[in-house]
Amino acid sequence: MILTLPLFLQAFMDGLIMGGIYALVAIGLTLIFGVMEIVNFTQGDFLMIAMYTSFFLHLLLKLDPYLSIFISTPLLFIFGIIIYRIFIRPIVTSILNGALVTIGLSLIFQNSALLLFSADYRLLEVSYSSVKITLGPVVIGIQYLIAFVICFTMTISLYKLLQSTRLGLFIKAAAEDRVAAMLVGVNVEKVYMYSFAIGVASLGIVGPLLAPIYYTTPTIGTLFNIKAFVIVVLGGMGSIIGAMIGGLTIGVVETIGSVFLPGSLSPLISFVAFIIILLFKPKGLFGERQI
Amino acid sequence: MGKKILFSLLSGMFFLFLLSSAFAAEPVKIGALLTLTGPLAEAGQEHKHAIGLAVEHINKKGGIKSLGGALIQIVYGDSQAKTDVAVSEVTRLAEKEKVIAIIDMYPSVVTIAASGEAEKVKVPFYAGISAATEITNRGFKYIFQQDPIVREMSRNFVNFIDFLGKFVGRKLEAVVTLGDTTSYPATAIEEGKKFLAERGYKILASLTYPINATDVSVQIGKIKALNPDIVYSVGYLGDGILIEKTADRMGIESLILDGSGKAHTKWLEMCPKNEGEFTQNFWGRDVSPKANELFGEYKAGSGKVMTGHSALMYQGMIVLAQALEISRSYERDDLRKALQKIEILPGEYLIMPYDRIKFNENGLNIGGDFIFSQIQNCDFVTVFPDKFASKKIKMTPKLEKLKQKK
Repeated sequence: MILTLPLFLQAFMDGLIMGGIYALVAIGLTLIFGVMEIVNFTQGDFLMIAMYTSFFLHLLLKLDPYLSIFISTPLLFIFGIIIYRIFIRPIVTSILNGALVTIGLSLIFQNSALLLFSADYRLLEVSYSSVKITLGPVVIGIQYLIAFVICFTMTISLYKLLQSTRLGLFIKAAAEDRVAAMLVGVNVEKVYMYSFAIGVASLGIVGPLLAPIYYTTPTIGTLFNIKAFVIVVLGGMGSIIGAMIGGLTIGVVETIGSVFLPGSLSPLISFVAFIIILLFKPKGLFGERQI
Repeated sequence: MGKKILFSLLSGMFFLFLLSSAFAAEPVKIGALLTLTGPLAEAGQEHKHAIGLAVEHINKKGGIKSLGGALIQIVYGDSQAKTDVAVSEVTRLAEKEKVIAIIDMYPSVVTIAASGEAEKVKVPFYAGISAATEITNRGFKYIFQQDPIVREMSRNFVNFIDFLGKFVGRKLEAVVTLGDTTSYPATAIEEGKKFLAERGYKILASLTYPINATDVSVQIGKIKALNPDIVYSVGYLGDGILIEKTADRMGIESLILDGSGKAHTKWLEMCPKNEGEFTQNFWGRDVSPKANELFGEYKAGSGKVMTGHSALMYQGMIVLAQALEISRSYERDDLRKALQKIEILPGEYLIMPYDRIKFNENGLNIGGDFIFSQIQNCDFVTVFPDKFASKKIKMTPKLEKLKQKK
């Protein structure tokens, strides 16, 4: 076993960074479930759309991926509204129908991307991809560090939005008791729509951050989808803070686990940790639906 | 009178046309099981083009002459890189589409499952690319494997490490292996470790990562800590890109040699960052004038660069066509017997860098081999073995460091 302090520290840092990125993918998912009880199987596909947006903006307009966040986020917000109004509104609060509809949408998105963009691996190369920061024995790629900082900031911002704004108050009310919220004058319909759109728009931030780090293909979203679901359940379905802590937990468990065990077992390690946590806290780290 | 003659002539011509249509040779249907959708869809689409090009060439030259000029017709199946889907596609191609044979690409795990079904339904199955040993060591009669098995790939890989040692002027000693745990990478690495041990190399660690990994930083961190001369990496394109980016980020000095996962033009898009890097390859445009001609034609038609995998699929179609010529039959068993007998020597029908194509009693091609390419001026250049090399190895800063390393 190769175990050195530098390796351990590197793994811990990489785990935190990846966990922060996973968390923002999961937060959209947990928000949508927390408010309207829809398990959104298209979460990874919206991430894919955001990555393609960033890729093509860079290819055609030479726009830096970090700047493309300002385009992909509002674009995905509007797209989220459209998808909600056409496909989600008719089946909102029905868990089974929601799952079926979003699975169907996922197939449509992936195959549409395949048709439009082919299965080509799209690589977004930037001039600063080799730039790194060295903190003692730990090396952090600048792209990863920026991705983590932005994701972490947006997670906190989203939490603050929900805790401190009027919209946040309405969202919490609708999540807690739909009928009671309607009775006190909350436009639950609009709350659901904006919640879905916010959940999707969060991927408009993650997509451009990941586009230069990975490759973009029609199925890239599925790599993150499974992790997002694990994180949401681990953190507590509907808990923003839970998703953040869950993301960081999964990220660190995977990388630290890979230090001690063969790397191919890292999904196993995170699933074992997931099961152990649920045995002690069946509703997740932060319980259920605590938006 | 004149009108009668004209009428007779026209009737005669019409009759002859009907007669020729009635006796036109029935097309020969061949199934092509590709990954047209899913995570390997890009490769599947490229191989589809290669197969289409081969069929175009064959049909333009008059089709299968021993079958009265029968044209080849391809029926595509989409495995989606999933074993269960591949099996049902084999059944569909064999029983509904009634193809005479099926040609398939990779991954090996899908080929193993699909060929098992082909054996059951008794349809000749031509594994164009997959290199897993299990494909032709099950005692099956209908399965033919074109690409040399993984053991030969691994032998060639270690031969190249020896060659590299001679180039840098010192015996390379320390190796770390890296791959996921699916059939092809796992087998390649296991076989490679045997050859490495035989030739006195020290294997410092065998590292793995999960399939479709999103992060390999721990594995690269371990490599950095161990600092081997060579990283023997076997995987697929997506993994190769992730490993490359992570190694670049973490400043790895070891030379990462890739076992064909990066034998893909997509990897060239990262140039000049990866200028001077090596990959094992199946084929290069510079291995022969005919290869270069085919490369040009493929690019003109698809706008893409022809990869070694696509060359293998093209070659597979040529072999099947030649076998049909020998069999003189539309029957599957006759084609199977023809494939068992066939021998294709260097010449018009051999575009791969092989001595020949000939199948042993298990259906394995015993004449195949591999090459190693280096990225020079952002293009793949064949540098090993000498008989197919078009240029010498280009010295790079990493190779300099390897030379100086004690």
